[in-house]
Amino acid sequence: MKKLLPFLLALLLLVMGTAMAQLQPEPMGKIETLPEKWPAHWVLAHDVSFSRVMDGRTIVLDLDEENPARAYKGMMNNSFAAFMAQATTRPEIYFASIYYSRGTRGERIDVLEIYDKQTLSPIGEVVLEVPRAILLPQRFTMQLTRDESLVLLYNFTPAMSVSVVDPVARELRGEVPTPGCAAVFPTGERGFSSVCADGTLYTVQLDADGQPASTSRSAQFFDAGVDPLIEKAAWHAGKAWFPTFMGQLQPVDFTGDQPVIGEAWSMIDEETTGWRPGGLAPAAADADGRVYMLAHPEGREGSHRDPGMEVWVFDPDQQQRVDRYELAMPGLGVSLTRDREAPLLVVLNVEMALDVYDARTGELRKTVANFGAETPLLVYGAE
Amino acid sequence: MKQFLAVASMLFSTAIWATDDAARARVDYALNCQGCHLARGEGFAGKVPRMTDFVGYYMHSEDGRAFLIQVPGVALSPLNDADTARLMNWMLTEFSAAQLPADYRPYTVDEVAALRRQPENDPNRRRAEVLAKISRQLR
Ligand code: HEC
Repeated sequence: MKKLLPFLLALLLLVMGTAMAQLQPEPMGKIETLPEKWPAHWVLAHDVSFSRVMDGRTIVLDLDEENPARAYKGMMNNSFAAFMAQATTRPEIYFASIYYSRGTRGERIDVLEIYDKQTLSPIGEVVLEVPRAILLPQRFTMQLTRDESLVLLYNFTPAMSVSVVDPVARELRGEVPTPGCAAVFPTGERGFSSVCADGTLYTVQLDADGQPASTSRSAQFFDAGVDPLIEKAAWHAGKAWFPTFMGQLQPVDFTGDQPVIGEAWSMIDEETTGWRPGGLAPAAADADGRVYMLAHPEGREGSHRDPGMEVWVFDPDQQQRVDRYELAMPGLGVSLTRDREAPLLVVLNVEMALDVYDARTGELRKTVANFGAETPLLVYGAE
Repeated sequence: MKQFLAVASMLFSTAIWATDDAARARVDYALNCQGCHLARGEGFAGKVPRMTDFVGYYMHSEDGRAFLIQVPGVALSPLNDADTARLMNWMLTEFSAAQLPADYRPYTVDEVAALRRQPENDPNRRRAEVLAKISRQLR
């Protein structure tokens, strides 16, 4: 073997030499930029890096691309289960990350980071005065107002409030108390609502400077002691559908200045007795306003986080289930791509891979695994 | 002898009732409040106000009385009005008996019911106002 090695090396060099003579060398260190508007089948997989939360990341994937190297479009670093929101009128993505001066300890600083969608690079930041909530990623911890002039972040210190940031001027506008009320649901052009412990919605409309112009509280529409509402709603174009522990679907229309609370109805029928909605991201809606819900059989007290065995598709206007998809592997979260033509249903499975289904038929198209994510707990369709 | 027995049994049942009441309040506190306020109401400096040796001061003004029921953690809690009244009365004597005024009156269920229907939307500002007034009054 010792004698053979120099010989083999020489042979290798010879082969490489001839190959080089024939091929144009590919330029190294090539840097590409991404389009301003991302194709509909691109998704952002938010890996919170559960066992080392300092080292989170959001990976951009093209679900139409079969070659794994090409499907991977790039990555943005985040820290401590960042909040994420995408703008549609500017090529920008926002993250709210937490950093400590000594890595895992020391002085804490919370920042809203502005990333450019074309370069996946940070282009600005706003330091937050009030520490944001720390929790597993979910969509309604950070949102843009409908007019996209302000970014709203949910704080839990454990007093509850919302930080208001102007992402264009890159300035903090202030902190609005949301007493006993959690999360942010954009309401009207420049307002938001939060879900309160007493089963009401607390709504704040903001003026052009991001200061509260009016506040109001809705009538009680759920009782957390009887059937808690799950705040991880399906959302499309200003309308939300909230599952409850016991399997009701509660519609709320947030398009006007005051939320309009619709009539709740049961997602469970004779065929599905004993089933309940559940998961980390149990609900999502497509561009036609159909609601996709993860569900598991033999639901019980505390099973609202259990993985779903099926995804149910609902037409919420008809209050009707239109389909039932059996999953190839139990799922923890669902998300949809934004297109009407051939929407994809992305299910985070219990092995932390992404199962990609045809949203119209429930047919499994492929499984995307080993793309550099340890725990991609929340997947966002490109907006 | 009969009279003695009747009085003794009355005393006995009040004693049981009293400890039972305190025990229930303690459990309600542990399940609904302790996560933020800690076991003895000590709270977290700069985040959750300390109630130990303090919360009784609020009983020196009507506004303070109202504030304690309108604060979000109390007004919006899943406890019903009667459980909330019992819990608050227990908390005041358990955590802060020395700060209560001489004419201290425990909360009634009706009082709690009326006040918590109007939760405070800006607890920090209201707290500062209420405490400023009470400290002027006590000075
Ligand atoms: C999620 C955390 C949380 C829970 C649970 C909670 N509180 Fe609080 N509490 C706070 C915070 C924070 C404040 C400071 C005011 C504010 O911002 O709401 C406070 C303030 C108060 C105050 C006013 C004290 C002062 O000096 O201002 C009282 C009284 C109180 N809470 C009682 C309760 C009771 C009783 C419960 C249970 C039924 C409870 N709280 C549950 C976080 C909590």
